[in-house]
Amino acid sequence: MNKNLAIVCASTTLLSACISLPQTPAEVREAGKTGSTFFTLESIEVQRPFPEVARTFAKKAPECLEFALTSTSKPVFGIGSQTSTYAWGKPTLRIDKDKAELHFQGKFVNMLGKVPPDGWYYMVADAYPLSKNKTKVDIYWARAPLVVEAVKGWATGENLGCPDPTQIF
Amino acid sequence: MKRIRYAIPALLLTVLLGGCSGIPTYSDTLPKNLHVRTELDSGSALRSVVAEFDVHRVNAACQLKYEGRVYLYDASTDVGIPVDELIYLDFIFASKAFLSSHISGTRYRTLINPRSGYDYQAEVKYNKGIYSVVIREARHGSSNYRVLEQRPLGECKQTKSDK
Repeated sequence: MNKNLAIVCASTTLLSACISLPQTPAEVREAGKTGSTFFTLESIEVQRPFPEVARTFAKKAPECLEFALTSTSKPVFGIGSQTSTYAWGKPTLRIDKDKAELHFQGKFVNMLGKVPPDGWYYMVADAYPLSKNKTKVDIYWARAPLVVEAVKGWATGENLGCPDPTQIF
Repeated sequence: MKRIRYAIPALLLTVLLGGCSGIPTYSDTLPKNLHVRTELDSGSALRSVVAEFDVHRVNAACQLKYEGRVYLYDASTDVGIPVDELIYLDFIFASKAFLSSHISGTRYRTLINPRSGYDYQAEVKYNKGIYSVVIREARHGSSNYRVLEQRPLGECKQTKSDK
């Protein structure tokens, strides 16, 4: 497991012991609006019709945000290796006529504290139409700037790349 | 079908060692029909990133036959891949922090069915933690390229040609 991920796991565990981390998308939004528990709200307006933005989210979210991270270690001397899965990413997408919600959660082995079923929330993005050719996206997020960067690229349509899962957490 | 992407495990001998790893290099003897443009930027002087891809032939039973690895050392690489049969390309982005022995990797895998008389372009990009692979096809001599959507290996059972 890489050092950064270990630090994230440890700090999340400690934080969850002292602070109640958001358990639902609604709580993530509230945290983002108030700036509590390290969540931030970032809003962008893109010159694209809402249906196009929603379609891009629907395509890219499962392609890029659903993954499992594994680690393999081999002895310096001798043979054999050991592989284990230590983290998972999970997107959830809900699309209505006037709103698209994209949630991203991360789950790790041996998580402590009160954890939502699919792991901690790192991002909730709400897209909704401002006009026929304009869409607003509100992004509530903490500790996953790469995911935010990717989602902004999907919203604008200018960058459809995926965040490197090994660098997200 | 749910897609789960697995990151390459941290290995001591890995893609960065290239020829020392024992992974065979792709025997590039066919007419050049795949033109790969590579742009890599780790975003940090303390982190390096490399890219390469594995070529697999896919038989009628949808089993893979490994043909070798193409290392994307240069910004532009021309490769000859088999035509009129199903091919599986497995692009690998591997990154490593300075002085660390841990290597992280992520993959982009897709089936393609290269056709004779066609040229293929692949744009392989890694920019500050955001990666993408876009493969396009055009009739030989034409500049009218169309994007080939990513196709998982599971689609092999359904079709063996992309039209």
